Amino acid sequence: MPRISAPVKLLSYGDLIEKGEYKLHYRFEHAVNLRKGQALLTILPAGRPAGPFNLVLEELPEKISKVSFDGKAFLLNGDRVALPRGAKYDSRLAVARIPAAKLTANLQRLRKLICDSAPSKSAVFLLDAAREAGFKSGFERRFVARMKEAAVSLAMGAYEAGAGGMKGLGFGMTPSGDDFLGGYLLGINAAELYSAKNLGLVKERVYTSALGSNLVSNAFLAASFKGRADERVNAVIRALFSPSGRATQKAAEELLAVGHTSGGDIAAGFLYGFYGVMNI
Amino acid sequence: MPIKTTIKKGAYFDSVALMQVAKKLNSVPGVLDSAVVMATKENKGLIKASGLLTAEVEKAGENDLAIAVSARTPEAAEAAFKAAEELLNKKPAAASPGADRRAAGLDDAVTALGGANLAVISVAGRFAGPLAADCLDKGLNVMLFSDNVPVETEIALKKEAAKKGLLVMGPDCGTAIINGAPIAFANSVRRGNIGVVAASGTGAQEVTALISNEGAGISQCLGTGGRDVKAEVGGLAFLQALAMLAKDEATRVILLVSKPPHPSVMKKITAAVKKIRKPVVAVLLGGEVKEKVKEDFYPARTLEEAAYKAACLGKGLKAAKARELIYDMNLRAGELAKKEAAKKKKSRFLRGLFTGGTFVGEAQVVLPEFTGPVLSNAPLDKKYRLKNSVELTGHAVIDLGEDEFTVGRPHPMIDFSLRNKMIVSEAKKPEVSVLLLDLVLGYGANLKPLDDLLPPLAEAFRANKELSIVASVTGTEADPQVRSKVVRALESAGVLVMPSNAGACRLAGEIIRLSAKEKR
Repeated sequence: MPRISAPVKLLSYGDLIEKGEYKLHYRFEHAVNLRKGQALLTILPAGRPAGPFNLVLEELPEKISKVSFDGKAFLLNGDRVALPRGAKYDSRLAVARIPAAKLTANLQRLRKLICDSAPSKSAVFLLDAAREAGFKSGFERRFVARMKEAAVSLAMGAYEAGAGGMKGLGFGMTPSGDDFLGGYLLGINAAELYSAKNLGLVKERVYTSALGSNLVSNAFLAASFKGRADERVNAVIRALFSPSGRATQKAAEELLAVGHTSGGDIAAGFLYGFYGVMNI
Repeated sequence: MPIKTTIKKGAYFDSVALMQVAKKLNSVPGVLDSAVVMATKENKGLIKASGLLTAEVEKAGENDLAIAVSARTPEAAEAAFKAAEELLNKKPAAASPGADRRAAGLDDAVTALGGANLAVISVAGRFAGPLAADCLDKGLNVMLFSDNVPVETEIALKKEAAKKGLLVMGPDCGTAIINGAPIAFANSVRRGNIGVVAASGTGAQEVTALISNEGAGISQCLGTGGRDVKAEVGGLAFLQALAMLAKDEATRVILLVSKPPHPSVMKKITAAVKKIRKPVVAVLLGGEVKEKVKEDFYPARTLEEAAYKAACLGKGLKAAKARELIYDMNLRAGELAKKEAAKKKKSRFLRGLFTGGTFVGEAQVVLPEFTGPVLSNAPLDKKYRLKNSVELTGHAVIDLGEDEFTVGRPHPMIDFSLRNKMIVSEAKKPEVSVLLLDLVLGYGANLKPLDDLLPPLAEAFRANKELSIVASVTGTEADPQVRSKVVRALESAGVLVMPSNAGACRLAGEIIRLSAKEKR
């Protein structure tokens, strides 16, 4: 059983965690979500990724109902946990201006990898129509049709219709549509950093239409809108904009290795977002 | 057409579990359509469009899980729900009384297992350092299976351990045998008087298994992790392990296994070896010891030579006796090679698909004298680096345990799928004449290697009539897979099996050499 009597060891904390008092929202086996209004704080045990709203501890506390953060320390059930030097996770995207040919090769590599390896029910069918065959029941086929319709709207610049049509759709605790849209916003942010275009309005239109009432999805979308990501997603983006193709492969495999649909959904959304706005 | 729905309020199931449920529902006889999704407004829209909406689903909130099924009969809907419930309620089996207990943390584990003096750590690299430091504080030796541990952390841990009289094996240490217990990737070997210090996991497995199969035995096998012998770490664990074996009364012969250490580290190792009053055998794959270290120091070119020299010394024989063992093996290999070479018409290249990195190094030491230059994704000489690790050209040997193949996947010693694919795809190339394989048995490795390996081998032989497949099997009779059983099955499938990797390389190389000669 996890313990609370021993000192709590803080491994990392996200740079978007708002100051204030958070109360228990939901406890999962490997994560505890706390909320302060619409703000999220997720406590994770060692081995889980650092993220903009994540507080990673050596072990999950056995019981936790309240967490406060004042910018200098966390109070977990009243126990003060100081912030170790270097533990703050910088969630900003790392985008380097590598030559376009290199970048294109890396993007193609990512596309191929997710088309080959993403879980069958992820939104990667938007990149590879052959994957639609994996969606067999009537419900699944309708899901595919709705996602495709929304993706076409996004591609045509009808961002409100596209994001609004896709949000909340699909499988998983954070539905595939939300993951795709988070990836889409990250793609736009990466394009903005790479090309120095001002894409603020596009982001705004997608983001405001993508918000729903799922606390976790909204937190992910908010971070993506600001160009922030957890370390696994950030590793893929950093690798995409590095001259090493092998780095892209490795980082993307790690993202997909999580086993859920999210990795594939986010990566597919990223490619849609990046290609979409770079072609403007 | 009955429609049945249920809502799991605020329930959390990971998406893999939800996918399994969705798949199961659709496979239940009589089920026409189903949905297992979070009840977001948008998903409810889809459920409605699919004709699965009920008042219950309509009322559900965004954080609730909705399960909906339409079926031909109420019984089929009921059966589908039962199957879904079973999957969702499935919990890991509880440990039976007396079985190994899962500890909540390090403190709990140390309390539960009084007298423990070794911790094996296998967590993500960046968390491994602090955990290893805690273990040292608790008086535990450490085997760090984890990789990606920063080099500064490795150095600090090893220095701290030395101060406390403890040993840190690793990071990236996959093999050890302590007091007869195989740890992580290791084989069940005879106990004996040969102590091994290894900066190479597969190398340690090969030498300990060969020694055991030759009737000698192992006192201890201490791993160090490959980076230990680089300049930055300075051989801290290697030297410490060497000193431990020098003092160990049960160890009469010491065997050192490594890729060539950095010259500065080599100097320290040589100085330490000179002071040891026990025979020392050393194999530095791809490198050599140039100076005369001492009278009873025996350098070896391959793992096989090192293992046989150590085995002979361990049995009280002269090290030179090892040559006879290798000579006997070569005689048999020569006969086999002649037969195989005779069936080659157009094919001419060798492709080595290895799961053990050290075997790739050994292949590059042995093969070139038979085949000429050999390319690799893990070349001993950078000029022989393969341009593309999956599009092999010329004579090539690849290490499928390299990061480029293993990120996000189990190690190829456990999961054969990638190599199996390559066995078939390489065999289909008409220019490929010989496939050279390793198969590592023992703890940590694939427990049913034949189930996975025989089908692609059969497909390979079907695809290429000129093909020879040569393999070595690293393991012992006491391993869970039983070496002789595996060897027999491979031989029945048409594979030429040799007792050692070096032996397999010589046979494969000789087939290539003879067939090239015949074509001329």
